[in-house]
Amino acid sequence: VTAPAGSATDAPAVSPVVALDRALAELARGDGPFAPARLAELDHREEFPVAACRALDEAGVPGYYVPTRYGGRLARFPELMELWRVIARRDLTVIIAHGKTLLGAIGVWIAGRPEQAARLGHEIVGGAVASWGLTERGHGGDLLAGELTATGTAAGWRLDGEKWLINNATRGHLICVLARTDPAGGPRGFSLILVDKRELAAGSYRYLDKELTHGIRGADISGIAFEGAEVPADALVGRAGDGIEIVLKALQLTRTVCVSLSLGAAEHALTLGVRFAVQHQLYERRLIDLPRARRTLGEAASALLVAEVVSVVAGRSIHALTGEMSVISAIAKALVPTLVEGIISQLGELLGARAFLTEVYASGSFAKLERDHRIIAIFDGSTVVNRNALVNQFQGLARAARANRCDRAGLAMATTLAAPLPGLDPAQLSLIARAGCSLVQGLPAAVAAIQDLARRGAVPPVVAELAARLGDAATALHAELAAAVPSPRDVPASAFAVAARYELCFAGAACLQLWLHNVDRVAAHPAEVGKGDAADATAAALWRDALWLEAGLRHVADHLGLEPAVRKADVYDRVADVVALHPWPAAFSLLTAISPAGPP
Amino acid sequence: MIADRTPIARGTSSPDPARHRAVELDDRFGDPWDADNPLGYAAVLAADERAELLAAGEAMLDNFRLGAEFVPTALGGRLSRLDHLIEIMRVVFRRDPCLGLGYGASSLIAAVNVWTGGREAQRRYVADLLIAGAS
Repeated sequence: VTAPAGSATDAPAVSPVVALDRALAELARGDGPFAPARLAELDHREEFPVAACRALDEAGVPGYYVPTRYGGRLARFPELMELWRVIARRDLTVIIAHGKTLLGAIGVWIAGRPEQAARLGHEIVGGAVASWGLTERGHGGDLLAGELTATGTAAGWRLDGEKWLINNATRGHLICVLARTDPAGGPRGFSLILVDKRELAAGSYRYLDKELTHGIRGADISGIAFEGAEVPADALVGRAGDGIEIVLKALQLTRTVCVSLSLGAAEHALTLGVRFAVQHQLYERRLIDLPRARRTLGEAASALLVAEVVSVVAGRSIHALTGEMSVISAIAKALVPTLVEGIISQLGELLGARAFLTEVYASGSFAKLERDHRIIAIFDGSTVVNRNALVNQFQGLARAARANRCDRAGLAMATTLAAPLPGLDPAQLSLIARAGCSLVQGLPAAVAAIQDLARRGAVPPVVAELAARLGDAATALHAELAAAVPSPRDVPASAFAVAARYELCFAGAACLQLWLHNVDRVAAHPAEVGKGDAADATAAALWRDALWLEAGLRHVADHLGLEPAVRKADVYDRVADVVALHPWPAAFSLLTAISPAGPP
Repeated sequence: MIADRTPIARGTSSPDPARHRAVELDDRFGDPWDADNPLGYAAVLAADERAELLAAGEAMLDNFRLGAEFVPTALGGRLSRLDHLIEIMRVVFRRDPCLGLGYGASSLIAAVNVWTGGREAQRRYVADLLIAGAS
């Protein structure tokens, strides 16, 4: 495995994320494996992106799927999310195909025995592909309905049954399977089994054909059927009967990490939208100079910034608010792909025919990303599944809000970008967020802090106004949560709408906290921003006069249907001014303005 | 399968010739869910995958003389009311928007310029072309 350039002798050292981004830019040139035309051709032929995945292997990306203690480089999940975002900016099919190995392994990182995890880590760092076998034909997201069985034998387990719609079921070397170990089923009736396909007896398994798909056409979305497949006793992950619990905890991590894929797709879409708007002439003007086009770009970019804030806060929360991840992961996985679908839709309108033609503009990559992105809101728990998970915790969230519970230390750590994060302690993952959601419950304090800053002239009055409306909305929403009648089976449709509003309150709260906990870090080093990397100038412009905060809160208020006293939407146009000057395709991000931890 | 056909009233007593033609057209398209129907959904998707207009559909619409639906009655065609034309085109689009656009609507879009602004000889020429089945 080649070490990423970040660890090489470059001076000054670049982060692994920047190093990967540069490597991908090289690989996208000419006929390279990440060249848009080449990826479009593979997509057209429904062929797996073998060369691109191999290039990611050679860049050392699989190392980030393995925790450091098991021989890999995965120390903090936000870094992995940044890497995935950078790859997703190029091509979703590739990262979905490549990233599946993390999902296949994560149950072992959470609950596996140390020697089992170390062995798997060694395999993955060496290039082995792992897959995750959860869903079955006819059951979809209903894991408790799974019919594949694992029966205890003298030597271990015997597997019978099939898993279907499994990413890399055919190509993977290993597959982590959720199997029914108690015929009666139930929450304790399933176990997780790590199957090494290379060690199975011939004839004890066969593959189900790759299914044709609308997006990610090249991915290996297939299935596997076991017939008396014998695996050794040590293939069991965790204890027998713990399968569902391990999977539900693993999903808290994977759902969070997966939002980085949406984020990358949104950036890709925005890059294509802006490039077109700058090049395209209409009525003797550039498209980007038409007010309607500018508003669209500003709105899309503002939504992207909200998505980025939610993603980074959710990712850091894996380490800082681990016990709340059952709520935070559901919010992030429901909200971010939905936001990004909106962004893609808006930019598609801007691009007009260029979003529809499959060869004329950028090798048709807009149409491809639009198709590819559809899967993000479906896989690893669909938007509805995640909202349902949130609905199931309404009572607890209402109680925690009533008790004014808030893990202030965890909240500060999750939202202070320069704060060092502790490693993940999987034992802290919980199926229920007993403390509720500190982000949303911390809103009153955040609103007060912003209002204080506004009084001192440190943020514009409109920001304080938007924050106050958000705070009121959250208070009203908590009353709705408390009034919701728990109904685990027949969840009323209205509850899903309440969940969507809760997600938006979370997003607004995340914006406020991220501003409050980092603005000093930006302001303390004004000389650093704006010089060097041009993307830093973008970030600096977004922090100036709380522009991104106003835009983010405005987005949230608009989507909550709030009517702030000041109804000017011109903040989107001011964001568009930044978008127009940004050196696309450089990363469009708030985060590059933040000084890293330690002395500058 | 039923839902696919419900928008068209099937009463035999309808004196409305346009409705009669819409029903006839729908019948010619046949059962959309029949995998062996060359005008069914499976055939439509297969043509899409090949990036082709559904050839069997074009042939059927030639035979139906869909082009005549775009020609005003004064010029020998069947176009007297736009709502009737919409009803007929809805049948085509419901089966395959690609066929509706690729075969039908673009001819109509081109022809209306001639109906509204063309000289008599031009109108006659285009009307004859469409009635004869050129698309």
